[in-house]
Amino acid sequence: MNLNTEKEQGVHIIHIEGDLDASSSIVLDTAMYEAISTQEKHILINCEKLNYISSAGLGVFMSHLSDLEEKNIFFGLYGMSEKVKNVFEILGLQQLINNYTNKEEALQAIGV
Amino acid sequence: MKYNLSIKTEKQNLQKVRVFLEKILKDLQVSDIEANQLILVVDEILANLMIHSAKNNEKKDIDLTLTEDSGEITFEIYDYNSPYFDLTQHEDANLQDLVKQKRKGGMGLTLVKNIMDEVEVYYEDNTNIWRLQKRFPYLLVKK
Repeated sequence: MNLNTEKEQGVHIIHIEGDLDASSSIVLDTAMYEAISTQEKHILINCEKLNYISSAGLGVFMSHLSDLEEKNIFFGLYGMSEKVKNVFEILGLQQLINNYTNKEEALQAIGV
Repeated sequence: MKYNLSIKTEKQNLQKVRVFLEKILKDLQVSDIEANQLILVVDEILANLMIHSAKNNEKKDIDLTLTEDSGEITFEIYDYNSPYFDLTQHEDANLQDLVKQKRKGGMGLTLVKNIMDEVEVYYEDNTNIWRLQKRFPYLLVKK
């Protein structure tokens, strides 16, 4: 898995590429901690090149949700493929985590 | 048809298993979404075994088989030299509780149970044998 971050229009975007499983989820966890600790107000995850996700990857998002809410940080995912979205929906995570078709839709939700 | 794979309990092997299964499931003409679900199920069980194994500071061998018969796909995962795992004690993940507890784990087996038609664990000779089945009626039509 490859991961990199960028700032666009004041939004912190984490781009994930490849497979997010039990062996690689630690990298995402670190990136999430960093984004939250640097007082970001909007964090988006770009899933356009995310090929695979297991519960270890989804668990990273879940474990940060209460901190994100507490710090009033907007959080969402965008660009999930059909198979990644399917896994997300089997667990019902769409009820807890914002997800958008593409970046434009996500930025619109933020209001930038 | 029956396929076999033996691996060591090291997390970097998870990707090798996914590649192995992806090719077989494609050859069997399982749809992309459902092939991903089956790969996920095996990945979740193996990841759990590997985490447990790492906690005990040991490297073990795990055997995996995939059988396709009459439109039914069955996985068997052999976790040798293990204490009995009682699947009936497992409770499905409560998402609100996981968020409150800031937990990273706890969803894997819920995914497995939601995806498969049958999930069983047999215990024989100090080995937990996971048996996971799912029926795909459309595979019969394609033959």
